[in-house]
Amino acid sequence: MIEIKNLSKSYEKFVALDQMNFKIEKGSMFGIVGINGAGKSTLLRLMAGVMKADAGEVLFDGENIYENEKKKSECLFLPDEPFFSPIASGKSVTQLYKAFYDFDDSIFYKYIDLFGLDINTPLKNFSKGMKRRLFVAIAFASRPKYLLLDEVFDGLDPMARLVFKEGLNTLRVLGTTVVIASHSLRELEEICDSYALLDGKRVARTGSTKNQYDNYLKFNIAFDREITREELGFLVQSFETSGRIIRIACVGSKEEILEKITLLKPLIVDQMNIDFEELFHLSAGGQCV
Amino acid sequence: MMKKYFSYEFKKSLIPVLVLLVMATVITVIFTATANFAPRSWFNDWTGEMIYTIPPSRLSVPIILFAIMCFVVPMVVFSFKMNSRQIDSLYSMSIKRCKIYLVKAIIGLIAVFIAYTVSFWSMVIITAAMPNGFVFSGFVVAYFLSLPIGFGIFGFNAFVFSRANRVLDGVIFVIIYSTVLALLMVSINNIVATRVGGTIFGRWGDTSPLAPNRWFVYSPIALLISRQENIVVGSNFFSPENLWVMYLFWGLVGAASWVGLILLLPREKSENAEMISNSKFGYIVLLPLTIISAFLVSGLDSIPFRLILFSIIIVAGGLLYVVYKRSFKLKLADIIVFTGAVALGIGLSFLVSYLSNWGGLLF
Repeated sequence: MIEIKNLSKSYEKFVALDQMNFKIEKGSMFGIVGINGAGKSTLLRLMAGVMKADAGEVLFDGENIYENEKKKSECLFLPDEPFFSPIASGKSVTQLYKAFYDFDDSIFYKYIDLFGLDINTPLKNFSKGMKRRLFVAIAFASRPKYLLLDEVFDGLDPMARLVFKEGLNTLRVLGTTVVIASHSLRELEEICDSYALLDGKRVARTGSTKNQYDNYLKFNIAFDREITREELGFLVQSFETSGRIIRIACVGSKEEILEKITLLKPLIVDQMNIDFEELFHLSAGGQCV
Repeated sequence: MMKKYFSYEFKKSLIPVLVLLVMATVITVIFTATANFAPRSWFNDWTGEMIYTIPPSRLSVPIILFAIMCFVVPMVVFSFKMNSRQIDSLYSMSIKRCKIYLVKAIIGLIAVFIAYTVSFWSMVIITAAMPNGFVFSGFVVAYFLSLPIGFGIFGFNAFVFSRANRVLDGVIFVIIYSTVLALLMVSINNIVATRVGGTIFGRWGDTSPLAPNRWFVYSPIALLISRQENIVVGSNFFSPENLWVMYLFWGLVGAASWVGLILLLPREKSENAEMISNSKFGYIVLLPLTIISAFLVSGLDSIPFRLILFSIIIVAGGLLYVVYKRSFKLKLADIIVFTGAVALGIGLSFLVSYLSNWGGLLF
């Protein structure tokens, strides 16, 4: 289990994370979402032991990760832009990971084949997506207990995404805890079983991706007249109107809200499903799409 | 884990080490093989005596290359610290930072020492194969004395370079640190000295133990070359006093640098990579100090020449501040410090000039 305890980090005067707290269960697929500058990459770097927290700690199975060789050997961090030297080839890049992890060549070459990569080609000739595929193959072959991925979907084509998701499923079976920070909310929704939403400095919301949907209600309602937000008589997170049809998203008891809507004598009330992206927008204080 | 990491870094550095070795050896061999070391004798018409002279050896060639490698290699080895992507990769691995620095330093030292050793003994072997009148024990002593000096210079340059968050800043730090102490010593000398009287530290090139030319980082190696070259050619010309003062000082500086490198650097914030180099060992102190020293050093020249030098110092100082802040828009605090350093430097330089005409401050 990973525990984030009172974690704070500042860059000079800019507070990136402030008293952050949450837990990631063992074997879970955990998504970290947030707008640009919300602190996703900072959080991942702190979790990987790359940076030292100003206050608080990141505990892996109860042990602080920072400068902890034992726990770090169980954890692999794949940053947004992994480093490689200008003369490196795909094969030479693996050497660093072979020095630190129980690297499985058969897994590596399996994914290299699936991704259709030539590992003897200099990496400077690789496209962004090819580099991403190479490092995904390295991450899978390193067989870490904890896998921390930053914007891993960037540059992956649909086919590579599919291979990647299948690889993650294999890791799930093996009990690997995967933490993914990403903007690709629809991908996270498909993969992750739990998430943390960063609103800049703090965790705005955390929990299971499934349960979170229950808190939000989304309706399309038709009236015989135009309705204003104020007339609804209850708090809505988002309100869109198109003539006599309104679309609202709100939080609360379904029965109570339907009761209040009924008082306005609607012609049609249609409850819609909310998806992860809409959940993100609502939680981040934005408008429901 | 350290062994595995060392093995990884060692394998990775094999080709660069080989390149360094070949370059150093080829340069040394060319300089040595094309020289004529045969002793010469000639008749001095004035004294009526036969003069027997031994041409200079090529001892300086591998040692100078050694000094250059101790300047360049630490910068190459520790430049990883200035690349945030590389920091992400390395610092997330299961190895403590002090071990990363230690492994990097050892690999760098191995590269430099192997290249130096091969090039040095190539010089000795080629020299021995040619007609010469050299005292070969001088070469042997030079080699073994140069090793700890190189070790100290490497550590010093590595530590100073690592104070920066960007490669260019690191190179500037190393260059300024190589000279700033000598500049300061000359400045102090100028303040307290007279043009005709004694000096507190001795004049430039003096044999005095505190002469200003002892305070460059490369002074120990330069004086070693002079001393051993004289031994090799059997000359008594070089007779500096109390060299141990200089060697003790730079020895302590070298040791402190190594301690700082291995113990203090890993505590630095990794997020500083590629940011503005705000270390107290860096621009913050170095720039005002260098500007003031530069004014003081140029304070004894004639007025027209002094004005040219002052203009150069002001422009160079301003440019260094721009490099430091990576912007032409300097903050008010920087402008105040820069202006203050310039004003203080000019004021002190005129004071030095005035005191010189009156016999100096102390003498």
